[in-house]
Amino acid sequence: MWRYLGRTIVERLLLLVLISIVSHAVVHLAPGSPAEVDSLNPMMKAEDVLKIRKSFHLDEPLHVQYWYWLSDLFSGELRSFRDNQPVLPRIWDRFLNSLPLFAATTLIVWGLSFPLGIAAAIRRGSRFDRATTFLAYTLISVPGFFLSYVVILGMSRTFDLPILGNRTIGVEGASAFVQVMDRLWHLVTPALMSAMTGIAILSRYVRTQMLEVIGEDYVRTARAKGLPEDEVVYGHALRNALLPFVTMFGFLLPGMIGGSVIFEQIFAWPGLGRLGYEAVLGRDFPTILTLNFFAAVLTLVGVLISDLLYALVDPRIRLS
Amino acid sequence: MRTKQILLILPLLLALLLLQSALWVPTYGSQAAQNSGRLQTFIEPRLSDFKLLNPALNSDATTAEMMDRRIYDRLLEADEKLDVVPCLAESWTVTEEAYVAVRPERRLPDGTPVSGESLRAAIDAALRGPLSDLSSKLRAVELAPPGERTRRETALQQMAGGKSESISATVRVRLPERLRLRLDTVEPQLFERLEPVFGQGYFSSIDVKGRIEIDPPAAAPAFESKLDELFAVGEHNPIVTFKLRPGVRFHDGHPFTARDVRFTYQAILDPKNASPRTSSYEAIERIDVPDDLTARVVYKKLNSTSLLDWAMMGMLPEHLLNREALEREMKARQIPAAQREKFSIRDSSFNRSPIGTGRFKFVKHVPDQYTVLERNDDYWGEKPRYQRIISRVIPDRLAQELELHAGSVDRYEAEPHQAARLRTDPNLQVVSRGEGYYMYVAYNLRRPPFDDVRVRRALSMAVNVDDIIDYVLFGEGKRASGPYFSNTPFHDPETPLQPYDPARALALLEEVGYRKNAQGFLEKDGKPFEFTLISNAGNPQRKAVVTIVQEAWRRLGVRCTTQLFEFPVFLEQFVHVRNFDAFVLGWIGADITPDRRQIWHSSQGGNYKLNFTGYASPEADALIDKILLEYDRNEQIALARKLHRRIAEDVPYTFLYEPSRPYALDARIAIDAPELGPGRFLPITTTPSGEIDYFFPRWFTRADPAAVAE
Repeated sequence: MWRYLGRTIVERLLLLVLISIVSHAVVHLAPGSPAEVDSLNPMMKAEDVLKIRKSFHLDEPLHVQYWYWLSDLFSGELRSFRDNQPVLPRIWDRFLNSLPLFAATTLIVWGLSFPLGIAAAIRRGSRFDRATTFLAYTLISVPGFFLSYVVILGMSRTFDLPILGNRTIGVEGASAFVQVMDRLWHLVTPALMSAMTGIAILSRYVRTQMLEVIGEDYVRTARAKGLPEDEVVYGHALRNALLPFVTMFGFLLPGMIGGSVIFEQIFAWPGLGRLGYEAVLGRDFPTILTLNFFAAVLTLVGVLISDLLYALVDPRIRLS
Repeated sequence: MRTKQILLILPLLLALLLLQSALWVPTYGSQAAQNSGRLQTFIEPRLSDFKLLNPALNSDATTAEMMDRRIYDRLLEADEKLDVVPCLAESWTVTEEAYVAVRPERRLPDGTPVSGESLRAAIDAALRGPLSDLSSKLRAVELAPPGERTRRETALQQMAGGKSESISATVRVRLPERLRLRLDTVEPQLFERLEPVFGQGYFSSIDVKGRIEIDPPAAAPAFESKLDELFAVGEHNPIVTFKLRPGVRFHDGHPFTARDVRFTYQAILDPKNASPRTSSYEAIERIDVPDDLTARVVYKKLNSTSLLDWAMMGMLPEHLLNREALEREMKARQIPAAQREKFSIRDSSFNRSPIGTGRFKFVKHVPDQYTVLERNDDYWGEKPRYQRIISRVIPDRLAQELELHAGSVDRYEAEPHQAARLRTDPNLQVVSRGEGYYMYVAYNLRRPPFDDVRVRRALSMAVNVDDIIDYVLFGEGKRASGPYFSNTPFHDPETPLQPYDPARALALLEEVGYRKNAQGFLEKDGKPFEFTLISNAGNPQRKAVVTIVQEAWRRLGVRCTTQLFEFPVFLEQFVHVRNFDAFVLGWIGADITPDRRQIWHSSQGGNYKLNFTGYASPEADALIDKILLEYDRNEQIALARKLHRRIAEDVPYTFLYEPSRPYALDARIAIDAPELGPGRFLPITTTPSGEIDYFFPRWFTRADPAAVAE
């Protein structure tokens, strides 16, 4: 177990270095230069455009630029091209903003998908099952941004409630309780909207897994020995149907970065996805690269966690 | 069963917890009712957050909107008609010091050898004769001893592989004995007029290499083509003297003085700050500060438009950003010694909590969320009516509009197709503002058949721009006739618009030699007239224009294919390296300056420069150069209008249209007009030049929505 852990961590560190080199090359080789290198500005002479390029080290060979980025990243000196602010504190800041949205979305997706999926599986072919199937495919097909606009419109027109941002501006003077509730409320719509597709897909997945397991011999055996139906479904079938979801859980982590660009954009949520999106538009290389790097770290960590969870959940699997 | 219960109860609890929060949130209505300050607050949405709130470090539009006429003041400003008027500078004068090198190897026309004294005598004599009109302007003629001049200069060096690099070097010039002429006005023709007095060829260029030393020497080849600029026999030094407004204070109470003017200039030029505005201020030789309220700006050479730079640049406080202030900041922030050398204004926290002299003080900035400005009650000029500005970042346009309807933002910059709908809303007023922007089709004049003006004219005549304005812009725009925006005085109103006339277009092409073939396409010498029209993707309006233009040309018999590329690809692989037949793009901004050298001068046709088409007209070049030498505003306008017409007639672009932008505002917002009587106000309007923010200091929100604007 420990040897496995040691080996896999070393492997993944090597992989991380490889990923960072490749993504650095890709980002730099893609056409376009930072918005600050404003080559269409008649107020700037070609000399000055080149001078600004130089100040960002854009004329150096790629490996030198990679080294600049890496050493700045680890010394904490990495600064955004856009406004010269340190990149790491900003990413941390946005991460803290994204975290509640991510957590709420995940809770909603996983909290609703299981009851829905299980219920549909038990009542296979029933009106409920067909209704959830219809709903799921509708949610998958309707573009999230469109649904969001409709909901924003309804909320602000019908209920007169503020939706945008992660809090109401001017609420600072209110009591702590109201402020917390305000934050919570601003979470509801974006989280629900970004959970929609997730619910649709995951509940389908749960249904399929459950159907597969319910047909197994041991479930029949459980029924045959006279266990109550709930015990059969939740105690025996569900447990075994859970295995594939362990893998999915591991892949949740990297979704924190860039997982909800569209919704952060629509709901003016100051999170990581928007930070990344704007960095890409303005070709803010330090920010793009660092976000990429953390996305890679999170992916690798997520996969590692799901590997470990597997061993924990399924006694047939031994890590060696 | 426990699991079942958990699976049912948990989601229910979660839903309850989330939904009950709605009960505690203040509704839009209650926000407006409870918050008595709402009427005194102007809330604006913006699509993205600002960068650095420091005018020396930024030139992007979003940031400029936060700074200009709010946090910072400029020395001069453009008024409603785009004329330059005083702001922090109460008045200004433009004078000149001209230098003439003494060339002892030459003789004057009457045979006396040239010396400082003989030149002076010759001038004295001429002032009584042919130069008598100068005698009232010429203050003094003095002899300046030989000396040395050191300047930091930048030049472009061609590198292998077609790339160029920017080279900076220290240039030392050993100056000979020179005559200094102090003049009360700028005399662009001075040396031409002195030439007969000093002898033909006196001002012709001389070999200056022996006088110039370039450090590092390796940089010397880059300056080979610029030697004339480094030293000349006759040199103009225009001088702009600003008298500053007394009693102006920064937001922290520190008085604003001429030292701040000089400091702002130094901050822009300091290479550590990597300012995007360097080019404009490199023309300055130095800024003298004879007293607290006088700034004397000495320029290296004639450039009449450089005065306008002072109408575009906010003044920085020296006491917060000079070396001592930065040292203090580094100490307070405990910056490690290794990084202190590199620490510049760019790194200062000032840029995130700026202090200027403007109407509004900076209060607070929450990144990517909002910024709060508070009225500066100590402001020297007319104080704004609003107590507070909140600038919210709402990156999505539709979300912005919804917030406007809910009353939680006060304005919204709409798309043209939304204007008609917004106009029907009684709670809103919609004003069309000029954008200082025109759209065009550019042709590559280096490639046939676009080198023939008849072809370009024919292609322009085939496009019905009025249709584009009606159907793409929904009427929110007007036709462009040439390179100057129609809201500026430089735009020539007499220049005719290119008529829509497909029949004449066809006749023109037939004159060039094109004939319709069996398929109905135009051919010349067996070769069909075909080319590619490109533009950038991601701009629906531009895409529509590309399609309409393609269709118009197809009807004419031109086989035109179109392609859209991502913006950086479009620029770097096609436009900047001149690898195109024709493209659609727009020019934005810079409406107060008549300088169009970068875009139309034949010297700017090289790769990565901005004369994309390779337009080269000796007449236009001469006009562009003359505009920069002309210090008389009316003359300058006349020259600019000639240039406008010249370029319009040569059709290097098909000038399409200037869009305007519908600007929706809360209907209760009005312009305070106490001069019309107590309590009187006017509806929101733009200036004649199309600007809407100009009257912003007088905007206010009426408490009584029923009152009608007059």
